[in-house]
Amino acid sequence: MSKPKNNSRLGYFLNDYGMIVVLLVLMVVLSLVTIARQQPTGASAGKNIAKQINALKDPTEFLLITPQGKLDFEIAQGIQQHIDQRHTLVNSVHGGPREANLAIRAAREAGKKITVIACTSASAKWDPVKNAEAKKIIPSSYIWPNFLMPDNLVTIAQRITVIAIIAIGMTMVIITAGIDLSVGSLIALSAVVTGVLIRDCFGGKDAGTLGLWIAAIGGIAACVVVGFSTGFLVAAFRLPPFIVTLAMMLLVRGVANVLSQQRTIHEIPVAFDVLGKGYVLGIPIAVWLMFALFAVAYFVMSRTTLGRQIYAVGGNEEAARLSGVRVKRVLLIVYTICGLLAGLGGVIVCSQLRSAKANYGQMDELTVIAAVVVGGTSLMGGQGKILGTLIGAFIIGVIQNGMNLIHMDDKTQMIVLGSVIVIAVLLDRIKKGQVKWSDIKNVFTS
Amino acid sequence: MQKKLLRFLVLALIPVVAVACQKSSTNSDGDNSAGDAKKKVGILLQTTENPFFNDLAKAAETELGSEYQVIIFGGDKSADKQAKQVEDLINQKVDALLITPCNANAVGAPIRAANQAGIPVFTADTACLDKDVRIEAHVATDNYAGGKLAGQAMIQALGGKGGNILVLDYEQAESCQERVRGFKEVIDAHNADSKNQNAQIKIVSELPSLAEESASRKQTKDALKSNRDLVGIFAINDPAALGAVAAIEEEKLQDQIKVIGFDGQESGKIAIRDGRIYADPIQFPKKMGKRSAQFIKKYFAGEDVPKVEMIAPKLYYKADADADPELKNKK
Repeated sequence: MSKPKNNSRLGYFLNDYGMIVVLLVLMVVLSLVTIARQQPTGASAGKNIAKQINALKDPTEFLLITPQGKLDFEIAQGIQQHIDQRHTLVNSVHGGPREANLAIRAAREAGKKITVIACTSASAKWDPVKNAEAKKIIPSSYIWPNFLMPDNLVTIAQRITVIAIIAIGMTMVIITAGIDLSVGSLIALSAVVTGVLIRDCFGGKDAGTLGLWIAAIGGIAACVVVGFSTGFLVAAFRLPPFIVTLAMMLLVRGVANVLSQQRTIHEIPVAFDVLGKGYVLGIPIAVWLMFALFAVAYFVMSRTTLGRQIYAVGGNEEAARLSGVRVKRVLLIVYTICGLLAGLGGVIVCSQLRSAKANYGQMDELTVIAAVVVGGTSLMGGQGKILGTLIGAFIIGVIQNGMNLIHMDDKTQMIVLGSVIVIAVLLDRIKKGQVKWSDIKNVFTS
Repeated sequence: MQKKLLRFLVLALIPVVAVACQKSSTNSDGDNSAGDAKKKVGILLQTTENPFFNDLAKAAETELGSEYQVIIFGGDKSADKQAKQVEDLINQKVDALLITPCNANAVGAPIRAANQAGIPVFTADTACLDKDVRIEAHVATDNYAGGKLAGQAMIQALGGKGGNILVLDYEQAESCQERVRGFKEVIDAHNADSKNQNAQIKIVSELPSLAEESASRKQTKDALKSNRDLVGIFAINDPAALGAVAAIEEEKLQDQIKVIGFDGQESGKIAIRDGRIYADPIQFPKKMGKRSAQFIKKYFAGEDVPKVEMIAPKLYYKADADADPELKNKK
């Protein structure tokens, strides 16, 4: 591995986390290709509309027509706060085109001279609004990428939460030169166990907070047991992790199917949404949880004995054993952690969708492994960085989100995602100076 | 090292900027006519693997016409993937969503998100069972009525005789549960009516088909080992029916066992023409797509839209297939 020539902090940082450059490039690309007109929302949209109406010479009687989104209701307030006395807001309608139609007719029939209709860019497209004989005023737009809208950035963080959290455990497992294919099935198991507990033990839709906690812990505990068993089989019998976890993948998926009787478990109270959909300071709770877990994992991997031991086991198991590392215990711990985090992921999915089914998390094990590998962790073991994995997860999330934003169909998305994974891993190799021309030549000559 | 990186960055940015310039110039073209901008409709399909959904989407797109920009995504039957697609479409501020849910309950979460963003939601095929959401209209096949038709076709196929039959179900989908419910009701009524012991139709086994060909083939083969005397099979969709047909033909029992399918996909219709499947209650995905699109247009025109519309299925026999212009020259 080549070390950077200058010993600056930036140099080391880029050497360790070179993938951040790929992430930034992707973000720049997607920002440029998703540039679009944006309108302010909420109260500021109202203020903007009020200003435009205030600029009109004659006093007007006007209508406000918006869809019934959460933020649309604040537009009326914004208008009322900033509108001049000489203008009258006759009626504000929050609904669909039908309601708009009725309101326009009612206002006309009541003898109001509606000269202006204030609307959003969405309601401006409705036929009754479009065809009404009145000046339409929409909040003035500005140019900004769809990709970089705050809502979209939150969506990206939210879409990778589950993958990223599980990828923490997967990184540890892969650093010990192992692999865990069972995490996708564990998502299903955890969701189903949580769902079944809520439905059958805590009263379904009427379950209290305590019951929800116990159910969630139950779901996670089931996965901890599976993770522990995997670790035990790998450590005690020296079975290849690939085979053990492949078996677990099937076994756990089967158990989840049996437990749920192949039905969707939907008797889950609204309160359970908090974990997946609750917000603190504008960021979903699950996303805070993800960042917190990464902070803890970063500390564990770089500052604690256990972290050093995990790297040692993957680097050279025999040398680690001879220098006093309890290899089997380390293996047991990493697979258990991986199971635990997969269980947590399952609970989050269950909360996000407010339902549980045995087909959740299918193929997610591969996305998790991809995030880890793109993040620069070597499948050979001994090398890898927790924060690299976070970057890897973001790269995958950004690509998936970006491809949806530019309307790429989902089959082409597979091609792009596959190619990006190959390119990312190749770039990482080249950057670390691990690619030799002679190796490439030897493929064809020897 | 950093120099190299810098060079790499600059190189990478050139095509990016080129693409972006092109894109943004087309964007500004579109915005010149911002007054009557196209309405964007996101169509979310359960899967693009099943032609049923592709037909539905295409018909909807055609019906919506040039005033609408249509974005189509397939959800690979994953509720989670579909939820994420809906969220990405909300971020693009689409004007309406037409969803064929991957999961009748789990689809509630993304629909709620669309509701909060003020985007109208229409559903087709599978209904959303989460009552906590606002849906403008739902268009679906009357699966229960279809199941009853399948039952009548089975009685007809057996020609007044009874015997043991097999049902290949798919309990994961509520629509398929409805089909089996309707089927069983007709068979039970038939058994109650006919005093003749020989005319009794008995469902000896009900196996999961996974709604696909290979699983159904295996299930049918296994069922034939224990029940060599089967006289009929009802499969909840065409891929499952074709799997059953494949197993029957491998065992050379095609003269003994009659198969009833469901859906009326092209492969199913061809099998009916060739006499391999007796009959299908057929669904009308194109009609479903067309009706959904009409409702979306009505909605934007400010007209009333019915909350639910059920499209009645129809039995489709060999005679229908022989006369079907769409099947000419198809193998």
